[in-house]
Amino acid sequence: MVSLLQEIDTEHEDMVHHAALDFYGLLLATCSSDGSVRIFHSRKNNKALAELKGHQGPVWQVTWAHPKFGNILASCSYDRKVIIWKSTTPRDWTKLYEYSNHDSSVNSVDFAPPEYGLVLACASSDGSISVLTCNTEYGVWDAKKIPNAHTIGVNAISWCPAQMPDPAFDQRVTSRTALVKRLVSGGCDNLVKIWREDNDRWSEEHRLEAHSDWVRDVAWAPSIGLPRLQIASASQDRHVIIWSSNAELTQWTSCILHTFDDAVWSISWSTTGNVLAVTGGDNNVSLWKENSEGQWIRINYESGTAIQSKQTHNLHPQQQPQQPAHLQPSSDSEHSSNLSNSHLSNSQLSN
Amino acid sequence: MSGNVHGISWFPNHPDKFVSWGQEINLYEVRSKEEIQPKSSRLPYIPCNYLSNELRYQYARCVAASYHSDQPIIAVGLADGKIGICNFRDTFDSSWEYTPSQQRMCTCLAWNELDANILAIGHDKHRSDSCITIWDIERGVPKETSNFFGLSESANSLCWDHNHRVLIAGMSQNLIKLFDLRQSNATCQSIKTKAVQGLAVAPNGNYLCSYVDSMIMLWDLRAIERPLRQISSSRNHMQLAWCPTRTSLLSSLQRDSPYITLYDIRSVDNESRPEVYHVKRQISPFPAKYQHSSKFAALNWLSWHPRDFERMLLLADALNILDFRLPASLHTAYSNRHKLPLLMQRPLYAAPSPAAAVAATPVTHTAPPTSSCSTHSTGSSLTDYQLSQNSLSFDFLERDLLEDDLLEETRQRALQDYGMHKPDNKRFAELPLTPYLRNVWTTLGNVFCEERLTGLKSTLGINLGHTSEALMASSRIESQLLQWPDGINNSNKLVCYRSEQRDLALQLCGWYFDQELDRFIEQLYNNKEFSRAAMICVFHLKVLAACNILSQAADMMRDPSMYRITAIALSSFNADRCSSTWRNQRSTANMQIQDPHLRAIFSFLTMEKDNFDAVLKEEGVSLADRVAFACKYLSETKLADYVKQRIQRAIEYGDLNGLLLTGESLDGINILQSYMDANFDVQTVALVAINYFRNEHFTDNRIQYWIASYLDYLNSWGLWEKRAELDIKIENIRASARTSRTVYLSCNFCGKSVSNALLDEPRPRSTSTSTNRLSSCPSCRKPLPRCSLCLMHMGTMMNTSGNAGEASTDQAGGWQLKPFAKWFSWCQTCRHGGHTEHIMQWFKQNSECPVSSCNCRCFDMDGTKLNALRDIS
Repeated sequence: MVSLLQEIDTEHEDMVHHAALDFYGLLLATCSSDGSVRIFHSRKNNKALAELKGHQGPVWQVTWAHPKFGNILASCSYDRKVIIWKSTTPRDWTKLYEYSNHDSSVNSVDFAPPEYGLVLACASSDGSISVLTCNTEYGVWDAKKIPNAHTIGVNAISWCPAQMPDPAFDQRVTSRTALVKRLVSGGCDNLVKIWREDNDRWSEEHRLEAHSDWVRDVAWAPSIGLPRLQIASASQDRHVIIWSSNAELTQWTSCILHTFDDAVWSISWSTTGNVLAVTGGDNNVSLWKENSEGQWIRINYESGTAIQSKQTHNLHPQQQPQQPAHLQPSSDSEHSSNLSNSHLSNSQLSN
Repeated sequence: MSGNVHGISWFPNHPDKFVSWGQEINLYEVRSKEEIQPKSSRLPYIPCNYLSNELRYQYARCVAASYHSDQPIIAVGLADGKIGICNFRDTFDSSWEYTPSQQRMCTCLAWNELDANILAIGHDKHRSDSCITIWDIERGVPKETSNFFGLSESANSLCWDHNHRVLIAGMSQNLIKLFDLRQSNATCQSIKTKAVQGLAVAPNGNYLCSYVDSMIMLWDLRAIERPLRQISSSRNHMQLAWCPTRTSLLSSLQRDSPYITLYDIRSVDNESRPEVYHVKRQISPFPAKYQHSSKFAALNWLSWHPRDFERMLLLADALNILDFRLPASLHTAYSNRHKLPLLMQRPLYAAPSPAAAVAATPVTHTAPPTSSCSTHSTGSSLTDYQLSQNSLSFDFLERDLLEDDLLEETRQRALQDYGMHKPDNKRFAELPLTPYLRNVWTTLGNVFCEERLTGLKSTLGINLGHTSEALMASSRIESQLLQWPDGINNSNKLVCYRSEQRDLALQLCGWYFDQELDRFIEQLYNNKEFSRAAMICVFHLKVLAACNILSQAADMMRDPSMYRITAIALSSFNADRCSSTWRNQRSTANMQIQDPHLRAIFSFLTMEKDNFDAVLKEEGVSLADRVAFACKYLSETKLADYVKQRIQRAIEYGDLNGLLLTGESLDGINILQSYMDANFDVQTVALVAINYFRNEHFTDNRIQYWIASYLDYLNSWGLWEKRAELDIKIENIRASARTSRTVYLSCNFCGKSVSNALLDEPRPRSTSTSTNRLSSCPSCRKPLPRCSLCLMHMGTMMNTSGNAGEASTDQAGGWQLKPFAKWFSWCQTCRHGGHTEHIMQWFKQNSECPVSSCNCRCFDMDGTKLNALRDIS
């Protein structure tokens, strides 16, 4: 059952699209259709510490950089801009850099693992991906663009975790060159693509085809020491697919996690726990975990709102008794409780 | 259900009532969730009570629900042009019916919100009659000419503006006219457009929408001359409506479509004029199971709930009424205090709209059947909420899972230096550990010897294959026939194996040899581990000793029965005589004996020839004890099998006790990994690795990843000191891989490194010689800087005699440890400096630089600014 921890009055004038906690879990950044980004203390229910104004359209996503680069936040918006903000204290924010070289809405931003430096990837509806690299010494930003990454538009982007541990941690790993930067993106061409940087150029390494509708979100799992990597992708075709690679990342195999009742909007991996959180159009958040046989098991039952999903899920035998007995749709009202499903087929910005 | 339904509407000021019209007009009330449901419901898809109906008007062309807050009143427009008002209570009243002078179809109705008695009526075209009529229903049928507009025109649609002063009408298929009713000569503005259907004003009062066929036009009422935006779609529109709880969300139903189309209208201030754009979304309100069947083919009508956030009534296929709420926007976010994501969402409760605030009726929250999300808001009193619709609530996703989410516990443990002390340390005992983990650490502490975690597997030489080494190892095993002690007749002779390796293994398991056994038992007894002591005695065939222990234990226990009975049973134990009868008892007894150690005793005493499975698989007994037992009684091959099987099991279940067998090996890492997978406990895993995996395996990617992520956690909690301590510990493990120096000294004159020369000196050097050695740069012979207070050269020790002994011991450890106070430091402004300790002392009393004639206020240069982060936390 969901239990309320805290409520924050964001005072946003419109819908809140995304919220992210910083590395220390102290600051919460929210972004909204009203074009502003607001910063809050995450544990005190008080007024916003700061309001960052700079976008002229809905702000879709915010993301925090690793604190070793300072207090840095990036936001992307419908107004085709990506703004990188920097603060000295949580109340004082300044625009560090503004990138406006996209021709359409920027839908997703993600900071690279800190091992690569201060690097930001941006995905836009103009079909291209930008990778912004900051030379922290001079504060100069350099942008590389992958044109035509996905036709119609790129919806989501995620970085491959740095596969080698931080060299500062173990001096014996000398080969810094072994750090190959990789990105995964999902777009309106129903594809998931893996990009790889070779000699300062980004090229398509793999093209993963399995979805039959727009890919809404992609997330690269944090590497947990297993000799393989995993990517989760969520699509409007109601599937979440887990892609697993071999050790050399040359082959990717797909496995459908589950067919949901509705389009799946977003997915996220827990930092170490190997738990995948899936939120979808059915007002539901489900948590999934892989067992030792490689099967994906749903580990929560009462998270969201739709009750009926519990009956269809592949329950772990041991968890079966926990299921309340009265869930069989017997009465009229049970039907109506199923009505929260929706099919979102087209939310492209038609400007 | 009775007949087809053409439309539905909520009552703006009766949030739980709605009306449906078609063949007949029915009034319903939505049930709240708590009410007991009657067996049958007239409407299958919505829990509601039928209240009454209105039989006078059938096949209404249009129906509008009024803003009256005292009773539900509707206006009904009929095909013959007659307009009826009814409140579902009073019988026929002629003053509440209006028939136009010329008979033609009524097309549209619009109630005024501010003056609830005012109704605007639109009619079809007639040559000699006007098409728009304003009727004040309390003042009888309209007669004055000022109430009639639009002679020989037709009204296509009607709506009032935000202030309810201006009537907006789409007329004659080509005009939108605005009538300001405050003026007597009413027509004030008109725009030529074909889009005259479905006029509606947005809740923010600025936007007006209209449609024709498949085209939606957006107008700005402040500058209505030109359309703001034009939106085309593939299908023809049937109904447009603004969501009353959002500023500018427009919904549209399209012909023969099962989707609701939503347009989120937004504007961006772009240079000179605002740029308006929209985000389109299509939603099917039907459950997934019907989505691909043809059960619901089309949506016919939509009515937004006046107050409940994004809630609407939908009419599907002319007979099914659905209650639907737009899917909530859910976000998840990870906090560094919880491993599971937090759920962030808008709180689902009624956002007080301005109109509702005027009405000031308490919001009766009819728990919508679509969302059990609202359960968390129903707990507190809903009317107290004054937060806006855009607040975010932070929710724990799942209470049950949260209890397993150890992150806060992990943090507490980190604060208490978990994993920094050996298990025998006093601080270890104070840690909030589960008994399981405590046991694991103790076992690991036992096994760890000679700076290695050598698992029993390699100690016992298992898996070396049929190499000569293995043969050698096995050849040295002595088997020994054990005799049961006197008084017990047992023809079964027990074979007991001993070898050097096995002895070592026993020791690593925490067992002791014959001579020390008594002391060990004594110790267990003192620790109140009575049954375990007894078990070990019995395993050593000291049945009498076990009896003694148990009977003594029984005296001390509050519930002695079990011990007492066991003691009696053991005292009369006679292997030959008892075993067969005991064996019969065993299967049932095993279920009833609670204490696993006692169970193991009986299993052992009643075993069949050489079949120790019952003891070996007794999961309640610690793995160390079982393996020790196996080392004592199992033959070489069986022992090897047993150990391998246990390792496999440990890997499978992520049992850290398995490390006892595997030690520092690949299997050990696998065990850690599967423990990690099962428990998310990266802390324990990393700390085990740091403490016990010290050799070649330490560089395994997984271990490094665990440690890196644990260090990351410490960082993210701001526990810098703890992290530093751990860093030092890790550094110590890898003494071989020494950190390269990060501080260099270079000569001010020649620029060559001074520190290189210092370190190149052979270490063991008496301090007296090194004091004088470096008064000048080794390459250019220019003097090194002096401490401005004691005037000694840099590189000289202070209090040399006192430190000499310490320094040498520190250097033996591979560290050149000089306390920071003995270092040199400089002011970065005036470049004067000296021994830190001296400088510190100086600046306690003085504010200016110690060098005479220098006025630099060196010490004030460093602003004592608090770390920004500290400030936050």
